[in-house]
Amino acid sequence: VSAPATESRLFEGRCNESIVVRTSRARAFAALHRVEDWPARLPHVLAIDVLYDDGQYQEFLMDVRSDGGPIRVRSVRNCRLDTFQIEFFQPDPPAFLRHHAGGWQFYATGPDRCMIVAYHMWNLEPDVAAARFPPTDGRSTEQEVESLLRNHSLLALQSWQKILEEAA
Amino acid sequence: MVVTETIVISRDQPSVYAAFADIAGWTRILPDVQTVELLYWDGYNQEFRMTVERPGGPETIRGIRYCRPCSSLELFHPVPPPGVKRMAGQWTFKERAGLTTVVATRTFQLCDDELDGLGAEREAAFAEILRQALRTNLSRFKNALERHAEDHATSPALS
Repeated sequence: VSAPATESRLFEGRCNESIVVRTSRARAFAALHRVEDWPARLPHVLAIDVLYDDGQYQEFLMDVRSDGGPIRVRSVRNCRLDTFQIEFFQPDPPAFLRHHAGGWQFYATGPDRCMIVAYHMWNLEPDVAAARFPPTDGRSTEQEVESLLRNHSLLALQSWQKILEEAA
Repeated sequence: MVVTETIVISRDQPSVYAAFADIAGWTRILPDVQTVELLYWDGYNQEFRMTVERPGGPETIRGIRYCRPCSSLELFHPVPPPGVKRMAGQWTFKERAGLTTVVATRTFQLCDDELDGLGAEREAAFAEILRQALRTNLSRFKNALERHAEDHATSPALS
């Protein structure tokens, strides 16, 4: 399982993580689709301001807790219930990224089991990224950024596993 | 409501797709498009702001497109035209024997306050305007693409 091939070849960096959750695919998809509920469910999400939501396409502002204080991100999502996929991109990515996109995929692996895949794809803004994540012994700027986004994916997946299994 | 228009263009699929995908180039093909501002573009996800000349004055819309070379472009407007609650759609491209068929589809929903008891009539009227606009724009792309091909075919003889 990985990011869609057509899209991923446009990006120099990509990573994906997955987790199996004791819940149905429909419930998992619905939880990640209903973005307005996130502040009540995800401790790191402080606020959501939905700018547009027609059921499939969404645009929203999300205030997220971070080590350096709250940050606001704008996200545009294409939520495909027919294929159980959610794609997103950040039109105003953090300064160290030129482009940032990704998504969620949902696979039924049993009657009450769902594998959730989170993937990120990005292109660096090289100078800003090098200043923010200077290369260290044995780790390049690219590896530092990948590690950051991979950890974001893992934390999000573990949070959703806890939420969905507690609610079951 | 769904509106669909189709046109056949005598150019190869990559050329036709490229003309529709190059949103900044629309000002050269569609005379009513005044300006296009590309806000984000990573090769797949695209955000743009477009100002279009309308009878009531310039109208600015913001659009998001998902670009899948060379098969389709998917579109929605987080800021739709005035009076429209939802506007989304796609263009699909299919080549056969050197001819590329372009199918343009739009799904729309009018704002509730536009439907004061005359919903069906207003929807039908808007659908007709949209259908005409799609037809006109497809024809302009066809003309531009086929003229471009003719110019290139004749240029060696002129030089």
